[in-house]
Amino acid sequence: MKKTLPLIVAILCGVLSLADFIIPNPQLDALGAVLVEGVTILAAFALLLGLLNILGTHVHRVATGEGSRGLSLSLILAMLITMAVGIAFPHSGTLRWIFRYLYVPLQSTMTALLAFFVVSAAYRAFRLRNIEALILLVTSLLVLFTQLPFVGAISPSLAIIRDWLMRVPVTAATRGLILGIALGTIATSLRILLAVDRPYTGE
Amino acid sequence: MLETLANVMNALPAGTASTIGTWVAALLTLAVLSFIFGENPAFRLAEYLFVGIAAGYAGALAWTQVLWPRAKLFLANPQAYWYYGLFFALGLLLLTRGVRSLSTLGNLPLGVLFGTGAGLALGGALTGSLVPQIEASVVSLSPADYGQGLVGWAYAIDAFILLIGTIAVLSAFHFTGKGQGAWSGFWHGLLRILQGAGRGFIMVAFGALLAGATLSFFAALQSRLAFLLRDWIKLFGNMGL
Repeated sequence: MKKTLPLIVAILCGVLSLADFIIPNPQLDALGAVLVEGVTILAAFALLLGLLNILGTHVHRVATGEGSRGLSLSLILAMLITMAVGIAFPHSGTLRWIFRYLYVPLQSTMTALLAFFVVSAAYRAFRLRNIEALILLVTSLLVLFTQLPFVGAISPSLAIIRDWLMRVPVTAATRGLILGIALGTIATSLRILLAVDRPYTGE
Repeated sequence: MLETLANVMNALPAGTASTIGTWVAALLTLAVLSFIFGENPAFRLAEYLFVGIAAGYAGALAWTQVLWPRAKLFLANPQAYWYYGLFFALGLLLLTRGVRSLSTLGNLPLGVLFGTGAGLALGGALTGSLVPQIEASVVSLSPADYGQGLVGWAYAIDAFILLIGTIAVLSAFHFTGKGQGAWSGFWHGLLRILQGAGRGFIMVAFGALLAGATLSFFAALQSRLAFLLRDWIKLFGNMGL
């Protein structure tokens, strides 16, 4: 029962939501909408479960002294204070202050830090010295430099080459990748719907 | 306690909260940027604070935007919104996943999540990706359909490259060994050529993506440096330094 009931429910929910996609029917539409609402609620609970897991891990670290106690404590306090203010005063100036002066600077500076990593990763990739690395280097440098205003003034043909690259080879590659991802998604979904894969039972 | 905190924030003289905020934001920005010189305690503190604040903010949003509005509807009219009650009960079962002895109770809500997710992903991949992309790939290769003279030929060659590029990229993900039949060697050789061309197309696309990503990361870096040099340094002037 621990495995059969989730299996039946998963197949039933999957077939119903797929039927809602394919068959135009008001009853199926209503049922599909209920399922989407349900999945939204369950996803929110899954997020809460994740938060409880983070909290549990760091409370354990603080209690046992494993890792850095101070850092774990700062994470716990930051999480609890933000969550409490967000729930108790969702439209308050305090939450806006947290978002504007803590969350945004941290997030955007973490993104800014990637500028250094991407340059270092690109340098290491280009040192491989094969034809694929050369294509990557030439394309990225062409796209980067043609963004500069004076490059367009010096050589207008470079911008034309960049536009052609974006319109034809990049579109072809992106289309191939999207088709590959779609085929992979279909195969994975079918494996779940046909109960070949049962991630909900840990199998 | 929270009300006191909110009252304190509101009672501060005009501009104090933003001045403190600018200082805090500047110190956090410098702490994160200090990672350029290697791992250090300031970066680690900023990292932990970021995870904590992001997790807390996500949790608050999940409660205020998703759970609480639906819980209110269910409590106000249980007959009309019975299904919210059902999914909240399933959500509570999902939380048991965190307790080892009760974790099998979480299988049922996970079944709902995975089943519905698989159905939606399958439908979405079919109608949103596979069919439209195949439709877009079916293009005329006749120059006459694109215009007269060289222009028509140029567009037809573009369409040909687009088609061959798509097929080549798809074959780059085709991993099979050499078969036994008479034509096997020929097909295998053709596939290898296509795979090589496909990898070339993928590298062109990745090169363009890398350039776009690099530009956006540098734009983010520029905005943080602009904040430090404009908003934060300005505070020193206000203090008479």
